[in-house]
Amino acid sequence: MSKKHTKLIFVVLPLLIVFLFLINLWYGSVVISWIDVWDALMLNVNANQASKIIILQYRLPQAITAMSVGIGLSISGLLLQTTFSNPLAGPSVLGISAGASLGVAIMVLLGGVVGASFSGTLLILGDMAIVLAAFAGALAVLLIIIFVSGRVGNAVTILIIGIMIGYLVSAIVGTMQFFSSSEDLHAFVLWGLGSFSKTSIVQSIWIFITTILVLIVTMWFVKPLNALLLGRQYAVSSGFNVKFLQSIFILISGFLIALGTAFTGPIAFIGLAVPHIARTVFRTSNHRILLPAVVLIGAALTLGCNFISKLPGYDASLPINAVTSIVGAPIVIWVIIKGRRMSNG
Amino acid sequence: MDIQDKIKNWSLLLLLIFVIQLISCSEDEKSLSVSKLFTSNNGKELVSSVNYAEGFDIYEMDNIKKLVIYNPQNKDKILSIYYLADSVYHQGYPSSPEFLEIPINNVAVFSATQLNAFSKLNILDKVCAISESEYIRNPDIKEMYKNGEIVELAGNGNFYLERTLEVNPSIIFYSPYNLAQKHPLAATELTMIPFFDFMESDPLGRAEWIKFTALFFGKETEANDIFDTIVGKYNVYKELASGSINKPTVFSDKYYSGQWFVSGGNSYIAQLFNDAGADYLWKDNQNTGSINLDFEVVYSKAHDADFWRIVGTYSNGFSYEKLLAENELYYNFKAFNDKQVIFCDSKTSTYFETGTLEPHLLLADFIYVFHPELMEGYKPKYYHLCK
Repeated sequence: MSKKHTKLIFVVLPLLIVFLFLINLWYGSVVISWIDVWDALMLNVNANQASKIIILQYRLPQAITAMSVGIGLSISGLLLQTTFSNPLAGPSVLGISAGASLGVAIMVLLGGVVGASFSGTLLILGDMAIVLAAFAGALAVLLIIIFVSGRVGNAVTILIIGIMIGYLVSAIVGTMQFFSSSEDLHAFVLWGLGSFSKTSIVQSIWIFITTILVLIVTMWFVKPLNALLLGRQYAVSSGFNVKFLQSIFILISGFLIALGTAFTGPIAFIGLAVPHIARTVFRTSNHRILLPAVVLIGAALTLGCNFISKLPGYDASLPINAVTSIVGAPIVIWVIIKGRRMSNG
Repeated sequence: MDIQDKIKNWSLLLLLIFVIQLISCSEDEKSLSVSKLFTSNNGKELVSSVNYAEGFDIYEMDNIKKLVIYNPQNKDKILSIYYLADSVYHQGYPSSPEFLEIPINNVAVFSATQLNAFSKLNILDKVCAISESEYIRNPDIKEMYKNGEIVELAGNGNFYLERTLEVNPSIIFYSPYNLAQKHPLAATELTMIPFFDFMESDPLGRAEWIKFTALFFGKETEANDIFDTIVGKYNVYKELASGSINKPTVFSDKYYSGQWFVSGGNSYIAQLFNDAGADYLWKDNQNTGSINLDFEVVYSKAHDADFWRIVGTYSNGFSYEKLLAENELYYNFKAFNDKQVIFCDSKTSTYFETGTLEPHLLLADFIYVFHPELMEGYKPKYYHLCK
């Protein structure tokens, strides 16, 4: 792809994000005129109080959270795919989201098993505690996958093992649910449904800033990411400490997955699908372009999915995972078919 | 084999088929006789003794009772029919799975909400099994369970098939939540009676299910007396509230993970609000169950409402801080800021167990909140205005 085209897309994408962000604020189950939306955003004292609260405290944090989680999951998807040199690596596919769920489940449900009840106290427990629990769970699964991928090189085998880990974790969570009290179960089931509307404005800004900080850190590693793409041998001969790099990438992606999962519950397919969309749109595997590309596409895609899930004009909204799966699952199928064709011919 | 033999064989075979047909025909006619009794009805107009509930009807003829249970999703459709008679009348007809001999002596009761009727009708000794023992509040049942007089046949949503076969209850009362799915215990081929009291949207209709329970134990007279008393008391309170001119606005339930399940305009709770002299914000909705709405829909309609009704539970009781911790957007509701939350603790109160047969007290609790001047000196039982 020509440089001119790439530049053009990098101009169009931010505009698209701004557009989708505004449309997320403007449209919802309740009809609010764009003048009221503007007044609310400008903190106009004369603005309609109800519209102001809906926009500033409900739609705005939802849009910021959707965008941040989209960015975070997409970066982690790209890092995982490069680190494992596996096009099917992604937070939900490799069971890492499930691991994060397990971390949260242990915290929420096991509390009930050992006697203390945590029901309805997800927020009282402290956001950080949940993030740390999710982080620990995600890292545990990642460590298993590193261990396995060191022995088995085949991408599909690792994928299958990841899926098995996902099942295993679900089974453990299921068993814990069996023995826990119904209120703890209720708290956990609700968390597990996945939704961008669970965060307050302060939390959403916190997630956004944290994600951007992690992004800045990741940008330092563009060169070694490109080297890894050409193979372990090449990276080593270029003077990179591959083991150290892999650990860094796994920590970063584990943290981003945990951050998103802790606040919104597991969100399906975004992390896996976005890097593929980026590679297709920009026709490159250079991380200098891919990294900003997944950030922009991830933000745009989740904002788009969130907008669809709001079903403008209806009183109810769709579960976000239904929308992200409808968008993401065909991409996975496409990748597998394309991969098959390549290996066949 | 010559042709004559062949004809002989064929005619024998035909005769055999004819005889088999004849036998099965007469079998059919015999087993239909109980139901035929009601269809022929000798020119008499059959009148159901059920007045408020929509989920069942009871007809009586020649000392045999016909119990019709309707599909709650489609009230025109009959889900099942049972015929009940005591042993004297039962003997006159062939036995069939839907023809039950009453009184029943051992019943498994799978919902704690149904136990209260047994308690009121003084037939707790007929209960041989329960489910989900940890949620049961009834002290007598708890005692019986502790002493091993009754056993648990399901826990945490899992049904114990083998133990059920061992206990072998004559009938099982259960609450089907999904009619499309076979009940896990259907394989036992025991008589499972669906109990749809929870689907009734009329508070008196829900209470009327005591007649349903009573039918199986020959306790109709007692059930009628209890129910008539409930209707009387309910109507007295309803009359009291009907005179009130100002109707405070009220909304219901909480926001859970992207959805706010609001009680429909024709639901149980909507009717209680209406009868208590309140203006329920979703009264124009046609739904009898609950509707799931987006947060902003509920907020834009209910942020100025006077009262907010919640049924739930918190460890160590309700507080406005705990409610706010669930979702800080609640702070923007007037009812939250004015501390006008009407709360019923589902764990410490016996709302789900005894509330069904005390709709008059649920109504009185609401009137006490909405129109305190009408209920001076009243002590609420289930719902409390939280300060």
